[in-house]
Amino acid sequence: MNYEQLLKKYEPMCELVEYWESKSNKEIIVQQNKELKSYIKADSSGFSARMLVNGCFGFASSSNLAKKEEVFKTAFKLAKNASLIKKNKTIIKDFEFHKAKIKSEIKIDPFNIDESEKINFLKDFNNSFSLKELKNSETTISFSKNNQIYANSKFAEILQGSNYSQIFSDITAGNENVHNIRRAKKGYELFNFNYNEFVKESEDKIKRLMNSRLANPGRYNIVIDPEISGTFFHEAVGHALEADCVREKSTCIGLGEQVSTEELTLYDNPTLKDYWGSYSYDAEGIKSKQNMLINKGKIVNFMNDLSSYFDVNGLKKTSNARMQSVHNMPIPRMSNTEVKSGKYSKQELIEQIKNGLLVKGFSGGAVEPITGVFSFKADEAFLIKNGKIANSFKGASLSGDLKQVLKNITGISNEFGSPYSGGMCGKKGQSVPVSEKVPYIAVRDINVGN
Amino acid sequence: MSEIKSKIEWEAIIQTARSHSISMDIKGIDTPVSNNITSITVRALADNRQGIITSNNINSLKTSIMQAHKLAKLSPKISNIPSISSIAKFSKKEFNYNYFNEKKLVESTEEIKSILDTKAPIIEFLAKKVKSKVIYVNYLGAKIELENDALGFELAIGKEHRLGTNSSMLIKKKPNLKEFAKTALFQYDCSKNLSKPKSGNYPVIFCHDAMLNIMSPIFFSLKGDSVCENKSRFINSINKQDLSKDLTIIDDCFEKNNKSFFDFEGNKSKKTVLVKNGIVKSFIHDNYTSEKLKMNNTNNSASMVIKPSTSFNCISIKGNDKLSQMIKSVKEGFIIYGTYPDHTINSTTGAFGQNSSTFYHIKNGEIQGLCKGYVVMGNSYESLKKPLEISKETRNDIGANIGAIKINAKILKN
Repeated sequence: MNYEQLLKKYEPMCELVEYWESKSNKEIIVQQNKELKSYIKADSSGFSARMLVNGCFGFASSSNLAKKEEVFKTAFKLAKNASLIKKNKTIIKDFEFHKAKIKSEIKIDPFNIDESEKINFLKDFNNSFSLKELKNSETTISFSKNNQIYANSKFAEILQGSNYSQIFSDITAGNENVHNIRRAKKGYELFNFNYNEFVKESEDKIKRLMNSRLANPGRYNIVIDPEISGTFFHEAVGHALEADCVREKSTCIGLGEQVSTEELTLYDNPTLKDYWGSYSYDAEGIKSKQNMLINKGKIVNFMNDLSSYFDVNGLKKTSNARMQSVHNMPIPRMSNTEVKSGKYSKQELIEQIKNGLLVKGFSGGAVEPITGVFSFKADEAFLIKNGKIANSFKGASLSGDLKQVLKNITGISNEFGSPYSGGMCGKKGQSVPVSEKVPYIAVRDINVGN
Repeated sequence: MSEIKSKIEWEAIIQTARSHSISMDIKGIDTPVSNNITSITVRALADNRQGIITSNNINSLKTSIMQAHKLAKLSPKISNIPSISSIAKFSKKEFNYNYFNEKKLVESTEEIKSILDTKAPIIEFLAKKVKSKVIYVNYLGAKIELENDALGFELAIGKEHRLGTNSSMLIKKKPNLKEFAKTALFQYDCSKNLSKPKSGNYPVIFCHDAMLNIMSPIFFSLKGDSVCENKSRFINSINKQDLSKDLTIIDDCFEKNNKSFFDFEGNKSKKTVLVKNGIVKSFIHDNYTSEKLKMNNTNNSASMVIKPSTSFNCISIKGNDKLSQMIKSVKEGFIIYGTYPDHTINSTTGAFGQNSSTFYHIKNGEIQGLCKGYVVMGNSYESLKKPLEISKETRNDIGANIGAIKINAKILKN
């Protein structure tokens, strides 16, 4: 039986039947110094089914596409058994699903490029690092293409193709290590760029770090660059605005709460062209749109998937159901975090600070949505003295309380960072591509460690 | 698979995992999940070149070998090409949780609910059973088959600023949910009062996950990959006293809750002393790093997902101090149960600046309460050179058998 027949078979017994299928190809090539370290080609496929029976979901998956009937049967059994013990039933709300076929919009298909051309590009790129003090330079290029199907018993059938490409460089000199990324939802055309600037940026940064000391820990007024402010809004704000946290009563902010100044308006936006976190339809067949979450400092919505939308009252439907692969359950996740442009230039934000820091380059971070406690690490910081940039420091860790920091925002700029950034976000054992379109932000009185 | 004989040099790992899980949040049972995932990884060599193919289609071993060989022929030559040498034949099945069926998974959610009762609200509880099978085969006729099962539990309880967490993965031990919940409840109870000590330098006890995080730069520098990439702090440290005399680190495949018998290159797992009384003795290696560095292979090949790399079997760190005594001896300081994973630690420089939701103030040997919005800062390489207190009690999880470590660090108040 094919999936259409299985959806029909189980429809009379369930409130909702859903099906996911994925086929993907990936290539990863790693060059270390003068040598090609590895060339890996990967393909993967799989499918899953989820059913809502008497107010309870059951989910099953397999990597063996021949086992569809078995997997549908398991999902049904799990849902039915769970419904016998679950007290708080999920009640389905009505809304419209679509049928659509989305083709990947790329200019050059990396899988049509000869292997030797890709190897030579990588070799030339990695060889262009020329800093005398370099102890190691490693560059990885990877590209993937995915074809996904989402269908359900309520008419939805979304066939979606997507391509992702990225270049990741990692250099070491002295006791310092710098990495630089260029990634997007694009094809091989992503690599047609002047990489000498990209290389210079990394080399200049590692030189600065080798000659800098750690910043003195303390409380500072700071300006954070788009990479860090993107991380701040993603980690500290975005995760607390995912609707499963509301259901689990594990978020420190609530609908209607005034959490920041009127200058702050925040969206989750999966429609940004080429951005690493973009998609046309979410994992549950909902068409992507710009979803407003904070309007003039006030919480107006939470990002939701079907399950949390059904369970939490007062939400507007957003397109935020995402899954790492067909083997994972969809959960509410961010795509691209977007902050509305402010009224200041970056320079004006810096000029407002008498004694503070400009903090740049993100290297990691996390938040506990229940407590609002966050911490993340910046690659480097620059002292601001009387509105002017002075010496640089290596590394700075920013930490604090989400609500306090949101209230302490003193300015938002109108200058954004590169669209070719982004990262992989982990939650509940699932990792998905995310990105940010966020400007420079000024925040007063923040805890800076080293 | 044994019928595949060719002149091509190849090796393959076939992995299958069947899992069942059930979760529960404040509203009760959530979606039960069943997964069945298979994957195959093939590495082929051709005249000092290599190609790697991974796929979900296990019926395609022959095709994958041909594809990997074709890819190898296209790739440039590599010096120190990792050889394929295993001729091992071994088979082991160990199922300790046959009795723990789907019904029992559901019952575990009921059990946790009754243990916690009115004591603390559940944010999430997850119970999972995994049955896995790993097969290693190569062109020399080696065949290793390992099958086992494991149980996993994750728990988060709390409300407002109060939080308690615990997670555990078992392959031999009998599950004891009462003990498991106790750890999370202890943290939750300690959070009842808020404490607001001043910023400054204090003794800090890092427990379990927090200890693993704080030591991650050391583990990073003990990997052969990091040495080959010139990133390790210990490149020239073999037989040198570069760490505290109180610290001994062993990669111990014989630890009770460990499941490593062979590595990804078909080599039998070994117990390797990495640091003895602060003296660096060895790194962990696979075929590639051992050949490149001309050192003995420790048989720690573990992955070919992005590139071939190594990983520890089970890090074992045992000390001589009693944890209760370590706490009692603190006049004023802190105890931290979990910090965020190594996001805010720089493995190359060793610098860390971490906060946590399980960060408690100790005064006169007793835990006073939760410190909200505090950061602990320092440098792992520097701190771990100085005299240390390490607990003799350890928690034996898959991959790590460690307890707690006390170091001096800077504390910054928000």
